[in-house]
Amino acid sequence: MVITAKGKEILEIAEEPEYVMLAKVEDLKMDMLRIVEEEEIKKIRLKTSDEATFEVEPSILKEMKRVQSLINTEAIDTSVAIPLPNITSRNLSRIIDFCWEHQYNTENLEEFKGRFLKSLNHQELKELLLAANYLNIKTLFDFLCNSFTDLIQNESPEFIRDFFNILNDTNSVKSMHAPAFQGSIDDD
Amino acid sequence: MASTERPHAPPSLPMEVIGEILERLPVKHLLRLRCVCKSWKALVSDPGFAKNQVRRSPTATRLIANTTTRPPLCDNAVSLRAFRLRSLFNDGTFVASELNPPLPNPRGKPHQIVASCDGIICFRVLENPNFLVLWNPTIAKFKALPPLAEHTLGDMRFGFGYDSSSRTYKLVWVLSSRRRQTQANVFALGNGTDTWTTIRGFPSSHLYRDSGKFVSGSLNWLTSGASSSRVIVSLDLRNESCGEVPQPDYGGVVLVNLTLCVLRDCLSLQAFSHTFVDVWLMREYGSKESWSHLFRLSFQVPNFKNTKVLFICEDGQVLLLHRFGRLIVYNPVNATFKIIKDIAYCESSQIGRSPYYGSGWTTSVVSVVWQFFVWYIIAVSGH
Repeated sequence: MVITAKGKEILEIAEEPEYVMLAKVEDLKMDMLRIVEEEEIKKIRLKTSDEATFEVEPSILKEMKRVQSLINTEAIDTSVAIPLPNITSRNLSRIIDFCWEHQYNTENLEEFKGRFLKSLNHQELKELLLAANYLNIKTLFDFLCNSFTDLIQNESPEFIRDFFNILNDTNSVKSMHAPAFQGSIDDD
Repeated sequence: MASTERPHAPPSLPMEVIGEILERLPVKHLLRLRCVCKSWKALVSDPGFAKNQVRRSPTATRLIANTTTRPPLCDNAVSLRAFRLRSLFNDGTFVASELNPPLPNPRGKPHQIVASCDGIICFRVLENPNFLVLWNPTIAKFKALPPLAEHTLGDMRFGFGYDSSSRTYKLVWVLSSRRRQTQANVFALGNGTDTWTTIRGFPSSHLYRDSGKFVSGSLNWLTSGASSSRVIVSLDLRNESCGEVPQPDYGGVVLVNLTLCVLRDCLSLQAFSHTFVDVWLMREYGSKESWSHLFRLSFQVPNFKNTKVLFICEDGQVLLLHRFGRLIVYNPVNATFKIIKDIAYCESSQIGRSPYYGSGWTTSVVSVVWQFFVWYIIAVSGH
């Protein structure tokens, strides 16, 4: 018979007076319960649209509010990978990267964010924003939204239509340079 | 599970995500982007969007005040201006935009601004003080309210704030008199009723000359209670119920004056003695224990007596309004003062008398049901 570290601890506790023993056993139970719980969460795997499977650790998974609510409310079988049909493997690995850095990189997070943003073109940026929105990751979603506002805030309406694939359905151009603080009532 | 929808189409962002991006933009860019397409224009004009946008921006980015180019005042030289706070704090310069009220007063007399919230300014029509106009200068829209009741015996006090439970802006008008029962009325904007309704149970006390301070969903006024003590009366805009806000322990200071203001989005009290003013901040609205003493400004220079604190910058610098209408930037850390060399002279008598002396304001795209009301036409043509 192999006695594990925990088992050995239990045997040692048996030597203690009863009241100490009871308290220690209670502690030990809690400990083991926590370990078991963590083990269970650790097992969670996510499957992307291109059939790649990712094992995601609990601290990262916690950021993905949508996956969390899937697990908590819909009692999904966590022994099989959870399908994410809207997310590509490329994007999921970027997301995991971002969440990881956001949690553990306390020293040069800004530098990382700068590099992260530079590695993406506009198309990828949009895909990632949609993915962050779908998975409900607040930190990434806020970061990307702010990046978008930086990208568009000084641009012309033409640039913005182009940027967002928007068809110009307005027939007037007169309100284009409507400045603030003008005394006149607006055209509608 | 296979991905079925548009595998190769370029992703277009849904409107809710576009909204999240746009509500992070400053107002001046938003206004420009209204012409991108019809749905963007509709989005920017949406009340829910406007509220989210204003919630993300600082409550006050500018100081509004009636100003004149130089003293002494002449009738037609008064104008309403918005000064950028950042410029005042950073390099002590005035960067001002002139705000042109939609209904100019005859002979260029200043408008009496009675309250403001989320970029909307409420002012009284000079010719007929029973008429109030709500105005958002940023989007150049206004709305005249139905007239107040005829009897005007007593002092009128106002307050303007947002009720998040019913998602309406509410304008409160209090007729306070030493001899008669205090009357309080509320006008809720956007709920379709368009009438003043009476608030029951408003305490009978004399309200000090100042507009209600809007903090945490409540309007707050300083009043003189029984035995001439000062009481902060609050009105919760959700259920329109009144209460009393606890005050700090002033530590034995003999108070000669007390003023209420909003600093850092918290309710603040300025407790004046003969030689100094203590500035207090209630960090958690309604909690007596959360009152904390920010700093003491002593009136070593006699002329600084009755100087009021208007704003506190993130870096701790304080904007003061001198009783003669000049602006001073004060640094509490090393107790240094910087008098702002003014190109525009904040009209002293107006600031001193007006219940809404130099106040915080921000740009916003918030609008209420804007209509050109007949009441205003009656008001103007009546004179």
